[in-house]
Amino acid sequence: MKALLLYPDREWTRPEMYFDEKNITRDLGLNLLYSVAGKKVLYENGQVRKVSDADGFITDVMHKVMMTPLGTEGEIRYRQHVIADCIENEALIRSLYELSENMLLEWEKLGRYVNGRNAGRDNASKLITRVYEFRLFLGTLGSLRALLNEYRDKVQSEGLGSLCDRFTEEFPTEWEAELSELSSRIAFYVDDDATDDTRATIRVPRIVLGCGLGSDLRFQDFRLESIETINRKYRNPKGTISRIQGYLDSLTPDSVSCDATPQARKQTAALEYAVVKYIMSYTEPFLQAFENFFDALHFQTAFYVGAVNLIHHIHRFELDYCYPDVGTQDGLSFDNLKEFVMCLGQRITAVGNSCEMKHKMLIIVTGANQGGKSTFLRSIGIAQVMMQCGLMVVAERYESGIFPSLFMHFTRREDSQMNSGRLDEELRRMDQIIRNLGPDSLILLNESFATTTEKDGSEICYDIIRALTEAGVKILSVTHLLSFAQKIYAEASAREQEGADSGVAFLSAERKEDGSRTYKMIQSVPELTSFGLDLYEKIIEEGNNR
Amino acid sequence: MEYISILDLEPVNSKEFISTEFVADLNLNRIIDRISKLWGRDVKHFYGYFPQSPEAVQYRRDVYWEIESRNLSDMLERAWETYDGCLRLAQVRERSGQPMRQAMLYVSELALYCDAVQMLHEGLTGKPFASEGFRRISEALDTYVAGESFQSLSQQTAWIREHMAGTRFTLTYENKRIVLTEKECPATYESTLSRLGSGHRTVLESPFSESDELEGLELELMEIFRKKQPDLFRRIGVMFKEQKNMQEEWIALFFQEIPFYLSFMRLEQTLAQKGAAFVLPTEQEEEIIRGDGLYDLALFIANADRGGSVVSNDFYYDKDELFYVLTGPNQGGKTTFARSLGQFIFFGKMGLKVPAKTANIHFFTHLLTHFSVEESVETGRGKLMEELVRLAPMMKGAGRNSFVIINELFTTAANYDACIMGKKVLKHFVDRECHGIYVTHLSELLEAQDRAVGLCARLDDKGVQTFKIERAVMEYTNCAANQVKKYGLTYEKLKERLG
Repeated sequence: MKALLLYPDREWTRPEMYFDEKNITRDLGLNLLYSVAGKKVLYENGQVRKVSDADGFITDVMHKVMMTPLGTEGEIRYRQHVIADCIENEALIRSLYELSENMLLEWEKLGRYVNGRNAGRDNASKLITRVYEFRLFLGTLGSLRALLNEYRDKVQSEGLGSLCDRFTEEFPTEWEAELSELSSRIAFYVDDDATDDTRATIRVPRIVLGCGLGSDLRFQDFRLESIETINRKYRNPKGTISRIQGYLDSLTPDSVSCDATPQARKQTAALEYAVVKYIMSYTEPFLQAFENFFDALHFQTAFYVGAVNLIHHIHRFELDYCYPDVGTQDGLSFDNLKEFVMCLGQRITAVGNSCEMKHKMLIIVTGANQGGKSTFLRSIGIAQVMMQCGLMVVAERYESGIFPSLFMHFTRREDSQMNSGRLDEELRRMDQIIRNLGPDSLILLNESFATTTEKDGSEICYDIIRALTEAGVKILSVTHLLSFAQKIYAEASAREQEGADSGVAFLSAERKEDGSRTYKMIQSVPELTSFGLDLYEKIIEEGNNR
Repeated sequence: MEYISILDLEPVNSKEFISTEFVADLNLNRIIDRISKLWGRDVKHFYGYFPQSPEAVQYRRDVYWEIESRNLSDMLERAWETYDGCLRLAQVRERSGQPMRQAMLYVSELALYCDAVQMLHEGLTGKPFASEGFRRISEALDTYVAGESFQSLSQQTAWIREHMAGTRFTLTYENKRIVLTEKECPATYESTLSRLGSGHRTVLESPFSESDELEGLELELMEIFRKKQPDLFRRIGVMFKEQKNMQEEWIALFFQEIPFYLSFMRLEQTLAQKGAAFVLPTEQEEEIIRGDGLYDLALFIANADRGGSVVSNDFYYDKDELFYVLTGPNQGGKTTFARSLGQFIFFGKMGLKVPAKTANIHFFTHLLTHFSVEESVETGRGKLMEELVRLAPMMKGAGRNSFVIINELFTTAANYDACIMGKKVLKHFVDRECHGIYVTHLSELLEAQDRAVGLCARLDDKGVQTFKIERAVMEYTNCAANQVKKYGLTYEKLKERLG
């Protein structure tokens, strides 16, 4: 039985994460997003009352799933539709998640992970555990059936709809009934007594076996004729009625007593054990069919619960979201795109950016310090990651191509010293990226090669970026290397003057006349200064004057 | 009666037992362990002594050839397994303390014995055997099977077996009692179960299997059955009492010995699938000793498990050549070659196939090995001392027709001393017309020894080991130069880079 909630045709197995997964998570600050996805927003009278602690499992699942890109528009739509269903039927997705979680917890309590061959328990208690496991599976699947039946007509998505149908098909009620009957036949093995109405009863077995004779004069070739659990009124074994009954039983011809000696009692226990073990072996296909199912269901529903939680957080910060559209790789357009992680972290409604770039494989962002360039770059990176795992995006509209090979080349704050060792590290990282480029690659560069002189950095950057764009790799570069930007700009303008499409877009952080920042990106010519002086003035000199 | 053994031409009285050091030096223990593993039983005892004469070795080779060329191995394995079942029952009987069960077990043993004999007889009958071993067995079987005692034995056991096999019971467990009825039960619930686990096969184990003995409830139930079938149990009892020692000793010996061949064949078949070559060597004293495609069988087994392969080598000892002096770089395959040569001689002497493509071998009375030893903590002797202590009896024991393998002697001694000692050792063995190989770093040992020939582990043009062994004397090479080159630190290279 498969859950198939993440992919239409396969289960989540060994994920093919982004090669650059660690840098993507780190540079885009995604750990915060994974963690927030694990936090449920609790309401009271329509107002947010509080936010729960993060569910570590959901956080972990969000990390794994978000770092594993989807390859096609169809797969992205598949998840988007399930998310839309989950928003409409939030109780369903939460119930599925809780049901699988509780089941796995119970299973663990029964010794799921210590129940291997080396576990130091005796065979009978292992078998009893196995029977309990079987009952746990059977009971949980019964609850799951009820839940899925309730929602079958309400869900619209292929993912959830086919789960309901598949469940009915792969676990028909007849099968469930047969297994339940089996469970009741062997009930004597796990329930010594039961209360039937008000009178105490005990459960005793009746077993009929066939067998033959071996050449070593032992009984062999055992077959099971029938097995039942009989509820019987409890009687004191030392009482008169029991003794009379015992005497009458002993008169049965060709019979032996199972209670006469310790050895006989031990052998009788072995008989019950052998028969129950045999019967339980027939439940193996059932247990195997669902062995991985609850893990899969737990994992996959965790992603959708995470998605629903994120939507509650989006509402909480009064942000907009949309289901992104898949476009061509040389296009990138969005309206009011916001840097989601920053909104979550600083609890603010950040400034949104809008853009419309067609036929551009290289986007170069220059401009004022503290103007929002890095934020802008990150907002695109985050949106791209969210889109590529089927999530919604914090924008009014977002359309982009799919890039399963996504790389970050960010200069790290602690690295930004003029230091050849740092440059070496940057070059090595670039070498790693180039070794692992795929056919659909996108690289986000943030202040790359700023660890050397402007001249050297510009040359390195120019050569690398030229080679990469010629190889069909899409690049978004935030840079201070103005000679690099201007060189690219000069070439692009020349091409456009000849009437060709340059394929390059230039954006700049908007700066008002008075030096104040709007944190918006506008299409503009790269300028020679990044207006750091403004900042210097503001922070250092104003500070001194104060 | 004539002595009948499939292993030995005549009774072996003074078996020269093979030392465990020797087995470890040549990694034979790994090969024998693998044979045991594949066969499912320990076969080490077969490798405890060598056949004593060229004829005795040939006797085994002929048997091996006959099993293979007449496709007898499947039949022999089946017969052996049947007989083995008989031995297992005998063990159970010896442990059992119940007369009723002992009697039944004894009858069952005899039944299996009869089966095994008949299987073997049918498989061997009417074949014109070329090997002395099979000819002896086959003739003796013809007479024995036709005889009255075997015929009567087989009829009686068959009657009892049929009777027992046809009996079915129903056991009803209820109200803390089990009732036995002598009738077939239709096993109704099994069909319900098989619907649940479609395609699932499982066995309902005997509830009494925990005990080796018929006891408790099972014994009581069996007593009920005995009272119902007095005639059957009387006949079993009579057979047990009257017919002790019904098995022929030579047949028992045959079944003890035949796994020697069958187990080695199983190894051969398994490894042949992975590309290993095996050949029954010829033993022509007038021709030179040679082998093509010789390889280290133990290494092959280890590498095959890891998916790797081994390098093979061709070799020959020309008419007047007695000893190889093998030199060459470290990790070049010297020890491996020496081992494979030892295995070649060992399995050849055992009358089995050797790990090579073609082979001619001479009969050697002794196979002696000396591999470098660790310093002994127990005796407190140094390494050189340990080596000499082990070498002394070996030098004393070696005579004409010994094959001697020496691997890295005197490595802890000074070079000058080692050369002198090495030359003396080599001269000692050559003077006694021993054949063998001496693996050493000292190519000087060849000096003044015209019956020894130099071999060298070859490197390729880039200085990488090929594990190929050639007839050559090692030239002096500066091993460090390769590393220097690799890192571009030769004088020319440094000039170029700095220029």
